[in-house]
Amino acid sequence: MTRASRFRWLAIAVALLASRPAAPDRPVDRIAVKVLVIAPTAAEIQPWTARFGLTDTGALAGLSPGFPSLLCNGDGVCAVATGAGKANAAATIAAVAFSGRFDLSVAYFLIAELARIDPSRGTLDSAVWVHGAIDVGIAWEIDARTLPVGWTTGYLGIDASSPTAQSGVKFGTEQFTLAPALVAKAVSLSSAVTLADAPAAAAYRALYTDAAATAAPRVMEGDTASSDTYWHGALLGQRAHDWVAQVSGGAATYTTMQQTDNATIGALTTVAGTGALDARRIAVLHSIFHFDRPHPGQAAYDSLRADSGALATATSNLAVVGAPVVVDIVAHWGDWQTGVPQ
Amino acid sequence: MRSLLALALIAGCHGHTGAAPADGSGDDAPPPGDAAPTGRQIKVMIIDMFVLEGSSFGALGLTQHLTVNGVDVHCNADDVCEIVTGMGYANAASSVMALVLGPQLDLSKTYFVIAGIAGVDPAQGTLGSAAWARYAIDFGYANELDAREMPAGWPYGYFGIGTTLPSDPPAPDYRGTFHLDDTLAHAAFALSKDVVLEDSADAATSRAHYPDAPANQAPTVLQCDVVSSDTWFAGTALAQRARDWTKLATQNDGTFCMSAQEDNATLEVLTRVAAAGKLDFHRVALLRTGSDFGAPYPGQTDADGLTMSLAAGGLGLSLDNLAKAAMPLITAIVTDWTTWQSGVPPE
Repeated sequence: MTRASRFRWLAIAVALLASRPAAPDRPVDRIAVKVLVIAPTAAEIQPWTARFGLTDTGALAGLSPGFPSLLCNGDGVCAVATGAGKANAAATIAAVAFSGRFDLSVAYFLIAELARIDPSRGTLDSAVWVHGAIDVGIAWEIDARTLPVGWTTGYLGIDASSPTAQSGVKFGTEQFTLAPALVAKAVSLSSAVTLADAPAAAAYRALYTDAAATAAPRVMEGDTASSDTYWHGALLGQRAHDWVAQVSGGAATYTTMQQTDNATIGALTTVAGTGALDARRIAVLHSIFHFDRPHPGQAAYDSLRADSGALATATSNLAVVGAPVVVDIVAHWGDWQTGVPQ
Repeated sequence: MRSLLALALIAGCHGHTGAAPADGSGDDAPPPGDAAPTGRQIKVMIIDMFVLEGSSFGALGLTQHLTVNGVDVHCNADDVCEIVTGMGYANAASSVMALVLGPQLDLSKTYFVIAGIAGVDPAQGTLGSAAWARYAIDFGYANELDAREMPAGWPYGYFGIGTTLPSDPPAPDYRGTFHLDDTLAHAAFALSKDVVLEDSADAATSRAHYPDAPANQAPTVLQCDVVSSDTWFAGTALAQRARDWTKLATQNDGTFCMSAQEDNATLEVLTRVAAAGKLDFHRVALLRTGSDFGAPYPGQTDADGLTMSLAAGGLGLSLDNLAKAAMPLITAIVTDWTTWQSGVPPE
């Protein structure tokens, strides 16, 4: 089906509020989605629910038991929590896409989740629009106490000879670069928002010494590292920095860490290969609830478990920063449906 | 041999990419809805992760090709089919979900055989060993501190998310333990335990470095369990973590022997879709064969053990033995379908 004919279908569906007679014996209501907000947990979806009046669209086979149906409104704004970790993320995306219940052909996808940040790059209650997502979990690993001379980490590429050698093995989900025009538009629409910030978060960031960590929170841009393994500390942070630089050929700078992005984007990209959606319409927003490593004088273990004071504010900032983009897409759908407006 | 593996892995990747038609031919497929199963009834679905695993089942003559939601499916006239998911959690989950939600196949009575190669724990097996799992445990969904920054006295830097110590069992919301059907796992083992597996002189030379059985013996069919992680871990400390975590996640009922990179993702999808009534999770079997040792022999470093692991002669064996170990189960299901269609027959 051509792009133009998809738009005709969409227009007909919206105008008539009618079902597309897709199966000859069983008409199915297909919801024409303009924006699908995606996060690992229901807590990260909650800020969107009241703000956009999202309601249950009915159980869908294959979704996480903790979030068994998509929430949508009449404007084509929908949201789904996938469950934590890569398996859940990819499973939910594929389940939504292949359910036959949603027309995603011209939808925008906003992956909006909590993340930790490298204190040399930013701080608590900041929000980061992501350019590059690099998987740091697809790797070989040995315990770091047994390293050969010259190795700085126990992680190395699969079938590589050392951590600095290139891997010849490709799974296909190691690296994604999001459409620059969409990132730029999202930054432009959201950079003037007033971020929520908590006094406790302000006190916590003051324990760090990096200028980026002690500065006021802001809307910024960066690159992210994904892994099911929720690592923490200066040594694994340095490894993530080096890995992101190596895999991207120096194009990406490690900024935030989370578990699922490469699986979520990977699944969306797989679905895009069938023509059911457009992978150039994926945006990723990270709201910073914690650092990826301790402050001076703190042990890595204590840092991982510490209360940064930013969890509630960072959760609310997901919609504070993301909503202007969603609102603009809906309000100017005539422009957005054909691509990111200039 | 290492370059062979790299070639194989790259080829597998290409196979997966090729599964997604660029012409958008899946676009007008009718939505499956939530209706009762329709379509071609499949007796056995083999789930492989890269193309060489699939090639090991060449004797099945899987010459019929169809595309389900972008996934290439190969079948024979006995309604035995096979897919290649692509490697790692993301590819496994998205490919398997695409397959099971597709409208063309009725998978409600299908036996699923997940069949792939793996790292083998020398405490339980050797190069070429074939293990039917009762449990699949997620290794990678965890907290990790670099072992040089972890609290004093810890055995390794991994511990469960939502827990305090490496010795803690998984948190209540951990979804990383799958208990496969014991009756099916036992039947699969019983049908294949007397199979003479492939062995080789290269593998015999490599395993002779290990002082104890079963690592230094010829490969056999086993019943023991699989841990999965996108991260292909190896070495003394991390192998111990896999053993410990398997015990913690199964109330001491499981025994770690194989490490893989997809199974918990595949099983999460099958669990979810079984809950919607589209397939029967009691009909899922998991087979992994040892392509490389997951821990070094005495005197060998972790780094040498890992970086030289694929040159030890296990890869070809593990591929051959996938089919050797799986065929008795597949043959039994197909030849006595009238019995198997209603469940695993009593012995």
